[in-house]
Amino acid sequence: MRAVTWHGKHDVRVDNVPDPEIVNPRDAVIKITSTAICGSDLHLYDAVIPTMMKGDIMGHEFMGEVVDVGSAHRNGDAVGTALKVGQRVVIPFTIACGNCFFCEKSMTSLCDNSNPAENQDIAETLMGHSPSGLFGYSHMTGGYAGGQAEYVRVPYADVGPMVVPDHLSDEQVLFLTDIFPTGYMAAEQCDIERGDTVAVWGAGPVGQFAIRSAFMLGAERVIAIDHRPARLALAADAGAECLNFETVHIIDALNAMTGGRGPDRCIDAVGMEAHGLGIDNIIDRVKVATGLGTDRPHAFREAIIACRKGGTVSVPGVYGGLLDNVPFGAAMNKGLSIRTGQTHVHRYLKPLLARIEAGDIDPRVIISHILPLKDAPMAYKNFKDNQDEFRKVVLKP
Amino acid sequence: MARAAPDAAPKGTHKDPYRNLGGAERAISVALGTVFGIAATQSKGPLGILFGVAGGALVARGVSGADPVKRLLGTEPDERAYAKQQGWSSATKAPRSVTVNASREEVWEVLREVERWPSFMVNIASASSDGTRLNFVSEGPTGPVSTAATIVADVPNQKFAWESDKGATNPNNGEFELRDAPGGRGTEIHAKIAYEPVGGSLGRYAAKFTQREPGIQLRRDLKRLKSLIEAGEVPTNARNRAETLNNPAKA
Repeated sequence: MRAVTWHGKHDVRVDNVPDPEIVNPRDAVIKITSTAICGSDLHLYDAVIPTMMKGDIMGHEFMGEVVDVGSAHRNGDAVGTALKVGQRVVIPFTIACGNCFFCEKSMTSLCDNSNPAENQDIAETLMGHSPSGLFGYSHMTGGYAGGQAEYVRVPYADVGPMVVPDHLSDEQVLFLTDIFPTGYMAAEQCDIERGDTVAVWGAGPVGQFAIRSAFMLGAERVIAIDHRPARLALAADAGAECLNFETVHIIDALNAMTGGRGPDRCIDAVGMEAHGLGIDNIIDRVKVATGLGTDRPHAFREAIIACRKGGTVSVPGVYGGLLDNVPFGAAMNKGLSIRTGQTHVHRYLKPLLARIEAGDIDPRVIISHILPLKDAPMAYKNFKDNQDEFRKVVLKP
Repeated sequence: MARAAPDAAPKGTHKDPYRNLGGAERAISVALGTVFGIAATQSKGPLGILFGVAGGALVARGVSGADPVKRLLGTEPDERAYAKQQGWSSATKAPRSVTVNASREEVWEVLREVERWPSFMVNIASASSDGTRLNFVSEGPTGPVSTAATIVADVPNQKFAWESDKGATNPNNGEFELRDAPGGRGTEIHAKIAYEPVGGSLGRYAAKFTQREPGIQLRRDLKRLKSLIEAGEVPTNARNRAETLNNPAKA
């Protein structure tokens, strides 16, 4: 089959690789009908996430048709819902067993079992404990083949995949696999109260869903911060007030817009590769370029300083390693709550599908390009360098 | 004297105190440092600076009685004590634990059936037991190694332990203890493997390098056992069945 494979910094290719098969009883094999490039895939593209290996298959936002199932699906041994060949499913990017302490508490991105034991060593050394396995996202989180391919093997397929109704198109439900739940969880973790103003750093795909989710969860106002005009325009469509950080003093503006209080809830939908030429970010860039640093947390720093006293900083943005010069003294003295985590996608699938069916949100608005799989290298390049035009790319294998 | 709290640290987690040098070591360090210091006053240029710095460090080491490098790279106190107790030249003792979301009975059932060990212990090629004796073949850094051992504890749902026979080529003792996790959170498996490393600490590093070190293996084996009990299968990132043949998880 053909698959998008990682070969190093800014080098992804479409290679021919062996087809996946059922390996374990609870597995399924999915023929992929639609798959997307995620903003977090750019961290892999930029080679800032450790433990990628040449030839790794990328992609963690994908959906398709069940073409084969393991024995547990046929003989009644399924832990969750047994799948049948022919069903159309969306698949959470976090892999979860459904049985462990964390899965029972629906914290599926913390699953104890889905990251194979030998891969957990790296995660435990770096983080103390290992998070769940992820599709197509380095060996530290499992080394699983991703879904930017014609087929994919899905472990614990009786727990992850959700069957989607035929009257909804791929484009309507594809983002349930990651970015819609990710934006939603970011807003949910804010514990939004009546009258709250929510500021969102980063108006990329996750930021767009965070903005829309914040309104769904009762935010009075949402302020979007980015520097790409097209992204800000899309945020404005959703009702957000927009700030371009290239031409605005963000902290001053946020204070002025909130009567000096600061935004009640701040969402960092940027993560470890902040753009912009603030002094702190220039220093971070030098550190990362020379191997003295791993992450560029400008947005996180700014969110902490901007946030209202006693407010919440919610971080769906991906961080990989060690963050320098984070103003934790401000976080402590202002009594901020910091909420974060990889998304517990499984718990949001059904409620957010219901939101789409009810017409509360149309995920299609963020798509800018629908391209064949073979165009993946071009799509990656443009998603990185031409973000105004390439907002969100869906690939068709 | 101040009242001391009971020591809650599990065996195998202790380290030497900061001041970890004996009287003789300290005296030699000060003497050598003084010689370096004298040499420093007699040498010019970079060599003089080098002697000066080394001499200063040695004197400081001797006066303070603290050597952080020895503390980092030397043997651990619990391991020295265990080696002495067993009559081994040196010991590596790895305590590992994992919590399984299952009852002690369910964990014991899988754990006690030693014939099943190879399904989650990647390093074990085969294992058998006749009630009082335990035999298993493991993959060592240099090839398969057989262990013949006596089962020294076999308390259902609580404890299983063995000690290899005297004069074994690879002396090793192991133990699995099951405890209820608090609040109905399942069963804690507290496992220990102690062995006399072939080739001493150098051999231990070689084993670690090849990922055949029993402590590393035990950590992974416990997780595979947990997955097998909780999820009914051992996870693998293999893309197809052919890949599983070379995959350590051998699902």
